[in-house]
Amino acid sequence: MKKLIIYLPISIFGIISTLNAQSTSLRLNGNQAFILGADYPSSYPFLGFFEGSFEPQNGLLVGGFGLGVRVERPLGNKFLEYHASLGRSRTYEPRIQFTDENAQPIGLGYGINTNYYTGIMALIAWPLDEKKNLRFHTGAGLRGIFVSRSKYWLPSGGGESLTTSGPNNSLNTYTIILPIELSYRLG
Amino acid sequence: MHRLIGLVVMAIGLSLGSCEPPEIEPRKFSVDVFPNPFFDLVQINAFSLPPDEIVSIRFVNEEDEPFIEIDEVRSGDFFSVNLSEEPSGLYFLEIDNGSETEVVQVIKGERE
Repeated sequence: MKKLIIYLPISIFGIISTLNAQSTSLRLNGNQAFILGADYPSSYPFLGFFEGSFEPQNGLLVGGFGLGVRVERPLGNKFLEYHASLGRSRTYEPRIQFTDENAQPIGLGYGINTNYYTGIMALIAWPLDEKKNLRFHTGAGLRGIFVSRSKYWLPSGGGESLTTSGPNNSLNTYTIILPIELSYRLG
Repeated sequence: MHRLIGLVVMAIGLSLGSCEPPEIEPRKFSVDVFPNPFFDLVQINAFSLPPDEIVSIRFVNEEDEPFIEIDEVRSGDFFSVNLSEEPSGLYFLEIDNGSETEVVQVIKGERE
């Protein structure tokens, strides 16, 4: 049951060095993943807190995040950029009816899929203002998932949750990514 | 050394979905699959299937590959399927009566 997932990362970055018009930046992102072409379009928030959450132990929901390094150099009036990153993304799994050894329903279980990935991208950036702070970027890249696991659990009021987990093989290990990006540099 | 801070929004055209887990759909066929999650053995109970209903059942893994098929399941049939050699994870049990198909998700848990 292959799924297509669209990522929407929101990043902050700081320029860490400049050399001969080439600059390097370190980028932190929080990302939201969206599932396309599935019967259960739903996404896991990249940050949230729900009192009485179904999440075991606490109500804090932490979804996707990542860290990347980008090198850019001028290319005419544009910029050529190379980007490498490590990250995590999360999506909900469809809810599952938990049953006991006697076929009695014991509740609806929740599931989350967590993926750890590494990615590389090459981008062209077009400045959209005179100071070149606002830029539009696009290009192509490759992302590889090196760990994909799903965790399911059945919350129980005040008691210990029934939890199980295992690898998730439903996603392609390698996917082509087509980034479309807007950035604004402050300062 | 420049110390510039930026903000990037990587936006690909899409519509925002719900941030809540999706709800489960009501069952079509009266075939019980239990326990769920399971570790080695999963039981399939067709006791409540209507007498005139005949279904086929097949297990499909997450890569969409069927690996166990049981044809002509009738009311009162009971099966115990040993999946101890299969990796843990999510499996799909497809129940089909020739005109309708229902997919039941079952989890093989990982012993800690």
